[in-house]
Amino acid sequence: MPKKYNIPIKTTLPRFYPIGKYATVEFRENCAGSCRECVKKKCVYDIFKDNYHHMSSMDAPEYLYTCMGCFRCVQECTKGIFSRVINPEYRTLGDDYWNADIIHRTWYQAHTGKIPVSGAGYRGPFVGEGFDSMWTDMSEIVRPTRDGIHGREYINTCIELSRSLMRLKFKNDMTIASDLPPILEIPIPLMFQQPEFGLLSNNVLLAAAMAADLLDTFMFIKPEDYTEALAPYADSLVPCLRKDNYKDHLGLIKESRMVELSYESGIENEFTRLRALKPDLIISVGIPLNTQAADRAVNLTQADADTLHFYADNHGNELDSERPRFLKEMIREIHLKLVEKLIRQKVKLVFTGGIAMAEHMAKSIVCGADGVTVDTPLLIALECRVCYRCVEGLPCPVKLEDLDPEWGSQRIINLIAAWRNQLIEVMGAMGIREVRRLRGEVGRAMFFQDLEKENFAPIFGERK
Amino acid sequence: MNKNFKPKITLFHCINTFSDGASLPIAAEVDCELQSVKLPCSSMVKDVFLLRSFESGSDATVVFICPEGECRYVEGNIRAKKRVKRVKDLLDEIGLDGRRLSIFNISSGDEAAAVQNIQKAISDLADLGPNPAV
Repeated sequence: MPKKYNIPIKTTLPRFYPIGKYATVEFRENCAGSCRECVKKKCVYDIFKDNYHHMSSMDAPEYLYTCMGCFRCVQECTKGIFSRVINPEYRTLGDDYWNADIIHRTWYQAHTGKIPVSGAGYRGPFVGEGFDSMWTDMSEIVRPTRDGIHGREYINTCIELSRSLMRLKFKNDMTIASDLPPILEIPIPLMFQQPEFGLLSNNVLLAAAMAADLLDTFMFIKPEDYTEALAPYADSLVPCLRKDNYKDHLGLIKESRMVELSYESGIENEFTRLRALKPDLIISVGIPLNTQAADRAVNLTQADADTLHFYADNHGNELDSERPRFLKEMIREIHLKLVEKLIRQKVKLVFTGGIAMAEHMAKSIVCGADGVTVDTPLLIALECRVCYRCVEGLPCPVKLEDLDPEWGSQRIINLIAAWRNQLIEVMGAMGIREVRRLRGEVGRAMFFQDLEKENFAPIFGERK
Repeated sequence: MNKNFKPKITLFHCINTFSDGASLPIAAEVDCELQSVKLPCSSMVKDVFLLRSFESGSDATVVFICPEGECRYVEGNIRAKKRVKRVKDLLDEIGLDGRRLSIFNISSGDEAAAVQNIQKAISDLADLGPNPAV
């Protein structure tokens, strides 16, 4: 029996106190004191005790906001002097896309490797922007896979990054006549991308490369950022090259299993030259996700590219557009265009930009992607606060430049383990046991726009 | 007073007065190092935090609270006031001078008053000098 894919999780404590969400305010003076029922002593998470320990050791005045929000102290105080509050720093964490909840949950996953649980049910809005206007079908959750609770171990999350033949040809003696292209598989539908911003010190890149290597996935990286320290992980790195510079990096190409070329006109002519250098090389083409992306996808698929890697902006929006569409619409457009041309099976589609949570990975695949890449979550796993101070040249509040690569790689591994577990949970609940079958399976999802159109358009007309 | 003295001020403020103390429009000619601690309610100011601010090198500590009767948590500002008074007495007792710690009522969004009060705390430091505990 083949060895099961397993991601080793290890609790990895943060180096700095994470910015917590909740704290309690004691807003009146009339604490009974002698009631002997003090809720501070009863806190099941020992938050009050931790706070006092923190106070006795801190260098500068700051507060801990580590309350889990269970309300026990608020409800049980005999004088009712407690109220729960939200940390003001928490409110300003991140930006409108990489919001405080996403950052906080990513920290939790990188710390524990576990799936975050809100504990009090979902209290957010019914529908939102982007991926929040799409729901996945969980109808099979009442009837799990045939193997019951053990079935999740048999859910396959492998994807291929190599091109496929549309059909096989056989000789008269029934041996295969077709030239079989090389096959490249990764065990999770997720790769790493060098983030666009952030303190990308050698240690940060080394941590990500080490994690990619252990997870048996890839990391897309610029050739100028290759260092000696990354050499042992060259097998897991994908150099992002251009038509005009790939000849300067022939050594790098020979060491790599996959390379990426930036899209430009006539790039398909370079495929033959690259394959002559290394016959089993997998070629990806990096394409900006704009209005021409779907047409370029068709041309490059016909020219035998292995993987098409589309780049949206950091918020998952279409590039070069005054009214940018979101990633999920763009994925559907490209996927359906290839389906319409009857060539979808030939090529693999990977998308970068705006993948912030595990559910975004599953939803992208439902929309038609084969896999996704993550960039900013790698930094958040390393405690980045998405404060963009580094962009302004200010020092990093969590000293990303000084991290230990071993520690960083374990934090990233924990995060990806939690994401994979969530993907498996979603697929188990859908009754799908193979992530390649989830691709483009929009029957397993509902889109708010479609439902609104179907139910309300006949009464109120279509949304303008 | 030493002309090279750059006062270090710690500001505790309730977010219902203004959202971020660090972005207060303090005039460029006022040379001070301001550390702002945002609080959901001024009642979260504890004696130990106020004392700790002096221990970590603050020359003066300023607390901004909501006007009386306007606290979102009913009595939070009154509670903060009592604590500040107690810490002021403690500072006098240990020879640090209670004038280093001041508390002001600030109406919601009144940044002009906030800046004026910080400048007052800085000008008071001209007599008091740097924090002797550092």
